[in-house]
Amino acid sequence: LVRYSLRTAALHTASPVEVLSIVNRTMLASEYFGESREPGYCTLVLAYLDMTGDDPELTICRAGHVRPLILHSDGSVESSQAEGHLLGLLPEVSFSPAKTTLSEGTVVVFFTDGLTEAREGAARTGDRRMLEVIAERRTGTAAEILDGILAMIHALDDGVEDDVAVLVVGNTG
Amino acid sequence: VTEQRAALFRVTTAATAEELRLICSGELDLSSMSQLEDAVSAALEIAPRRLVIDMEQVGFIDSTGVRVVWNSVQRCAGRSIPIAVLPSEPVGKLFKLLQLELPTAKQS
Repeated sequence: LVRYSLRTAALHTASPVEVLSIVNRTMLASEYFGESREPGYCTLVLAYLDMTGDDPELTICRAGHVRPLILHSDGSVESSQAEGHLLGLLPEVSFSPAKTTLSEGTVVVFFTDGLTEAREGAARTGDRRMLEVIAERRTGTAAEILDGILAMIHALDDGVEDDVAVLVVGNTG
Repeated sequence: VTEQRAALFRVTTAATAEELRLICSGELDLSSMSQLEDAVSAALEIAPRRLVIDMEQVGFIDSTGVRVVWNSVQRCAGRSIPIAVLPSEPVGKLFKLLQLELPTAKQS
């Protein structure tokens, strides 16, 4: 439901805020469409890449999802400041997208909580491990960062209990 | 494995004339959510003057746990029973990330 509503909405409006609002309304209306009314929710990140300027500009719109990490070419790392509600539970939702200039060397890492909630033994260390992997490779390319994250996932093995999705986007110039 | 994980979560009930308090500890996830769900159902049968879900000792919560807590808030609202949810740091952090506002002690 979410995937196809999102794709349909994105074809009809260029506004990420509007797209997410439409998906939220669709989820809340799922009873009307005869779908199960077990109150489900989801989180997602929607990003638009504008290539028309000198430097590409990435607009990140976050619906309750884990904050994407932005790795700048100077080695600094920041969490996306985009704000927004999760989808499917609340009739009133708001979203505040954040823009990032994807200048040469900048890398953006999108991921799911299956990664950050991974455990080693009894301890949930996925979040910390993830930041360590990023810190070690903060001036690396998108491919190097992805390799680091994949190695981390393999090392955690059974500690990764939920499904994981990772998307790393970089500007190689 | 599921049974071991579920054993990590506990709910105990403490009742006073003013409120019924569900004191949770451990990890609230898919394997343990039914424990809290059942405890809330039992609490709503009693129709307390106020329900408190004390999650200050909950070290981890996943999306299914969030759903149970949120459903509990809605169920109480439907019966006009004031509810407060007291989050631990990780619980509060996840609800903040989701931008889902919990009814705190002050509001109820």
